[in-house]
Amino acid sequence: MNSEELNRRAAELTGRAAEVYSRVHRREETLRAARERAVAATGEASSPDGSVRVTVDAGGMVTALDLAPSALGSDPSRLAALVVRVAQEAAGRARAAVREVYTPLQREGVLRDAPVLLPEPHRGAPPPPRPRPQPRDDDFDRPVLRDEGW
Amino acid sequence: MSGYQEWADNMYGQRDHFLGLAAEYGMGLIGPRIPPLFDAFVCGDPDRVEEMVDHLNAAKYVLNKDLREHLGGAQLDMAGWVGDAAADFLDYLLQLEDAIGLLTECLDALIVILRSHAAVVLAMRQDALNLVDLALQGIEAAGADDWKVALAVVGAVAGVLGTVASLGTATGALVEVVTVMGSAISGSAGVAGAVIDASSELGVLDDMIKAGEGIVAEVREQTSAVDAGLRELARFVSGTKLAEVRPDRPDVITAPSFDPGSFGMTDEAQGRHPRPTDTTDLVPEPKRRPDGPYDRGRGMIDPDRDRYEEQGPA
Repeated sequence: MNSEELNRRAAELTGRAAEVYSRVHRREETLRAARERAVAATGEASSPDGSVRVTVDAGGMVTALDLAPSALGSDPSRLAALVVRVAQEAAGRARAAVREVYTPLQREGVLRDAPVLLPEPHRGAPPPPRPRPQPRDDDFDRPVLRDEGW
Repeated sequence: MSGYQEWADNMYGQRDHFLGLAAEYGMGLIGPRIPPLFDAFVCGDPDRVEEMVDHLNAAKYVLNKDLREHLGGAQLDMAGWVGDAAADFLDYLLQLEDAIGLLTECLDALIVILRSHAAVVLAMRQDALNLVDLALQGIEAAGADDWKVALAVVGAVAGVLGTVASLGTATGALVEVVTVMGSAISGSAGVAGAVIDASSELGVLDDMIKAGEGIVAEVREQTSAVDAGLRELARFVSGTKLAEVRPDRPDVITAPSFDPGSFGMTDEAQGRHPRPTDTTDLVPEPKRRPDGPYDRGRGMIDPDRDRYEEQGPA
C-alpha cells in the first residue's frame, strides 16, 4: 500500500473515529442525564383515608412521613402496619419512576443493563397485626411470687 | 497539502477522538498514554525519501556524465604525453574512474537504505491504521450483549526489512550494507502476537495502546537496522577507504625537481613573455569549505574531531 492509499484509508478511519466518538458522547450524555433523573426520582403514597402519607427517594429511603391527627388516635399496631404498607407503596412508585427512566434506553439499545432495583414490594393485603401475647395459665392463675420466700 | 501533512492531520485527528473516548469512559491512566503513541505514528515521510532518491539518481547521472565526457576525454588528451609525470597523471585518472564506480555503488546502496526506511514507515502506517480500525470495531461492538473483543493485530512492520536483507544480486557496498542490516534485524521479535482482547471499552483502549507501543518498539528495531546500514555505508567513504573515493593528487605537480621554467615555450615563441617562475603548485589544493554545524563532534572526549573528513584537510 503506498502513501496515497494509506492517506485515503487514514481519512476514512478519522471520519469513523469521529462518528464513534460522537455516538459514544451522545450515549454517555443521555446516560448522565438519565442517571440524574433517576437519582432525583421519588415515590409518594397515602393511606385510603389520607391519614398517613409517606415519601421515599430513589433508593427507597423514607424522606417524609405525614400523620394526620386522626391517625394518632388509632391502635398503635394498626398504625404501624398502615405506615409500613404506605411506605412500601411509595417505594414501589419510586422504583417504577426509576424504571421509567431506564426502560426506554434499554429498548433503544443505549443501555445494556439497567441498574439493579430492589424487587417489587408485596402488594397484597397487609399482614394481620401480630396477636398480643396471651397470659399463660401458670403465670396468672396463682399469686405472683407465691413460691418465693422473703 | 503534502502527503505527510495529510497523514499527520489524520493521526492528530484520530488521537483527539480517542482522547475524547477515553474521557467519556473515565480516562484513568489511559489518557496520557494516547498522545505519545500517535506522535510516534506521525514520524517519517516516505514522499521525502522519493525526493531524495531522485536527487541521488541525478548525482549518479552527473558522475557518469563526468566519467564519460571528462575523464575519458582527459585520457585521450594525454595521447603522446610520456614519462613519469604522464604515468603518474594517468594513474590518477584511473583512480578517479574507480572512485566514480565506488561512489555510484555507494549511491545505489544509499538508495536501498532510504527505500528500506520508507518501507518501514509505510509498514508502520499500515499497522497503525489496522490497530485503529480494530480498536474502533471493539468500541462499536460494545453495545452487543456479552460482548468481548478478541482481534489480532498483524504487524506488517515486523518483516518489512526481511525482503531487503534477502536481496541477492547486489555487489560491492550494497552487499555489505544489506548483510549488516539483515544481521541487525535477525533478533527482532515482531508484534504478530499482539491482540485486542478486552471486555470493556477502556480495556479496548488499553489493549490498543499496548499493541501500539509494541508496533513502535518494532519500528525502533527496524530503524536501528537501517542506521546500522548507514554506518556500514559510511565506512566506504571514510577512514582508510577515503583515499579510494578521493585519490591523492598526482605527485608531478609538487615534485621537488619540478622546474616551472620548463613549462615555457621555445625562446622564439616565448618572445618577451616572462617564463613561469612560480614554484608553488600549478593546481592549488582546493580549500576546504568551512565546517558546518554538524562537522565537529559534540563529545567531551574529542570535541574538535572532524566528523566529515571526506571534505579534505584544512
